[in-house]
This record gives sequence, structure tokens and C-alpha cells, in this order.
Amino acid sequence: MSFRYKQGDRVRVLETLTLGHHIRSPQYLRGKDGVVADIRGSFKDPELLSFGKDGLPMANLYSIEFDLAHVWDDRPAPKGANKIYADIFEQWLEPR
Amino acid sequence: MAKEKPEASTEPASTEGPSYFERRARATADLLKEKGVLSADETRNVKHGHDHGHDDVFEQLHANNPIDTTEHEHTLFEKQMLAIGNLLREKGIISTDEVRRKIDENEGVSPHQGSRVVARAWTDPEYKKRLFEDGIAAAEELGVDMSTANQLIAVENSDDVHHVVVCTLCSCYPRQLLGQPPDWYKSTNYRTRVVVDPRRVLKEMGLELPEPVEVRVVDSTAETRYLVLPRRPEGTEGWSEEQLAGLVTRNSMVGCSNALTPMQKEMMAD
Repeated sequence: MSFRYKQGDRVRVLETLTLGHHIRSPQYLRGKDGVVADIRGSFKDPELLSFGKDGLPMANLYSIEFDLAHVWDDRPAPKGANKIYADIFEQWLEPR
Repeated sequence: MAKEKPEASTEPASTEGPSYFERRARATADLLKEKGVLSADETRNVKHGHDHGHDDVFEQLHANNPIDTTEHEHTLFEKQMLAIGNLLREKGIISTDEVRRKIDENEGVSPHQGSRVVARAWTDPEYKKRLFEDGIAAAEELGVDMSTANQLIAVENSDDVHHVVVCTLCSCYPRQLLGQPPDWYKSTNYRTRVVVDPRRVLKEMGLELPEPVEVRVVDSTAETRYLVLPRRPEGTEGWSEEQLAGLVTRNSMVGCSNALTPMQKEMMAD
């Protein structure tokens, strides 16, 4: 399976609103910019599995690095360098 | 600790190891006998016996039971075990956490599995390299059952970088290596605050990080489970793997503390 993004690519997490559970893209990262830190691999899509489907097609998973101060840009930035790493599936990413 | 296997042989056999309900049932039965709440005969009755008329409670329990992945409609046996567990909780006889811990105990999972991995990585550079390349294979090398894990990534704490793990969506945790997550890990407080001001949360937990240290909050949102490799404490040159493993606490492998220093360990023993 080919990966759309590679290490170092700038991406944004889609802002799509969702209701209910079982979505693996945390709300607090929606619409936030990050950088692809690593490619985790391809996995059965948990967002399909959780609704009783077979989880196919497989979904590409990335480790995305976010600057914590950017994620919470409406708050005073905490001191020092602070990063957030989250695993985000490809369907939740768009290029920046 | 001596372990009985009460009634295990009378439970439905499975070719794929014990199911969710079999494990839960065995742990519950163990606890009931240990606490003298039920005799062996009563325990047997419970398992083969009657409807206790707690359908409403059962429904409620089931709705709150996200880790139950049973695909068929619950059998009478399964319903009974759930209802009994619920009754015992209502009476304050056993808690959900106790059952979880018992399941861990029966299956031999404790944070010690993770401690062994860390201690080996501290003493064997080749092993450490393998751990970073393929965490599951490296854990399996030490005899840890990783069959339920999709991916294990080790992240290393150093003088410059400190990793701390959270699951903001639920309570994803490397259970194969650390057992069940502690209550604070699952708490809304920890999950919502550590991604906002990690330094403050860590300070509240007793770990004050110097400002130049980069903090990396790792949000375990998907298939990957994370193991933090804490810094090896000073003054442990020449220590055996087993001695070192004794310094590796659960919290240090989540990144909420450092490994114990030799002095801290000694004070704990007193």
C-alpha cells in the first residue's frame, strides 16, 4: 500500500466534525498543523471495525508531531519546548 | 502465591484460550472463595444455576462494558456472571479494579514485564537496538505474550528529551507489558490536562523537569502502544539486570516519573 505522505511533510488534521465515539482523531487536534514524524504502517481501519465492519481497506497510520503552543494557541504558551505526538490515520490528513 | 483453579474445567472450553467471560468468571470465582463470601458449592451453583432476576442491572452493566467484544448474544452463563459481579459491586464486596487485577494475576501480567524489557535495554546495546526496530519482537524475546498487540514503539528519555504517554481518547496502554492502567491514567483530569500543560501535571506527580528539557506528550490514539525507556539512574554501574529491573517503576515506563535511584530503592525497602 502506498503512503501519501513521507517523513517531514507538513500536514493538517481535517476539521470535520464528528459525533459519538470510536473516531481515532482527537477533537483537540482537528484543524491543527503538524509534521509527519514517522510512518507507523497500515492497519485495519479501527473506525470501520468499531462499527462491525471488516476494517478494509487498510488505513495508513502516521505519527504526527505538533507544537503544543500551536495546538493551544488561545492560551499562554507553557515555558520550554513542548511537543505533542499523535497517531493519525491518512484519511484525517490533508497536505499543507 | 498458591493459585487454585476452581471449576475451571467445568467452564466451556475454548480452542483460542480463555474468552473475556471465562477469564472474568474465573477471577470472580477466585475472589468470592478467597473472601469467604461463597462456599465451593455455592460457587458451583452460581455458575450452573439460576436466573437471579437482575436483568435491568445486567442491561445497565452491559451498556457500560466497552471491552466486552463478545459477538454472539450472551449465554445464560455469561449473563449470570455479569449479574453476580454487579451484585457484588453493589454490596461493596468486590470492585471492578479488583477483578481486573485478578485477571492480571491469573495471567501473570504486571509492570514487571516492562521492567525486564527496560533493564535488558539498559545493559545490552544490541537488544536496545532491536527494541527500537521492532518492539513486539524484542518483548517476545523475553517471553512476553504480545499476541494481542498490533505495534509497540519504545521512546527513550534522556537528559534533553522527556516523553510522557497518554491516551486522550480512552485508556490505550501497553497492557501486555504493564498490566492494567492505573486509575489516574484513565482519569479525565490526567487525559485532558497533560496535553495542555505537561510540565505542570508532571510536577504535581512529583517530577520537575528543567526548562531546557523538551517535553514530548505521546497521545496513544490508534494501534500503537508506547513504552517509555527511562534514563538509567546514576550509581548503577555493574548492576545486574535483575537489580536494575527493581528500579523500573510502572510510572517511569509511562513517563510520569524517573526510574528509582539506588537510594530511593533502599529507602523503600526499609
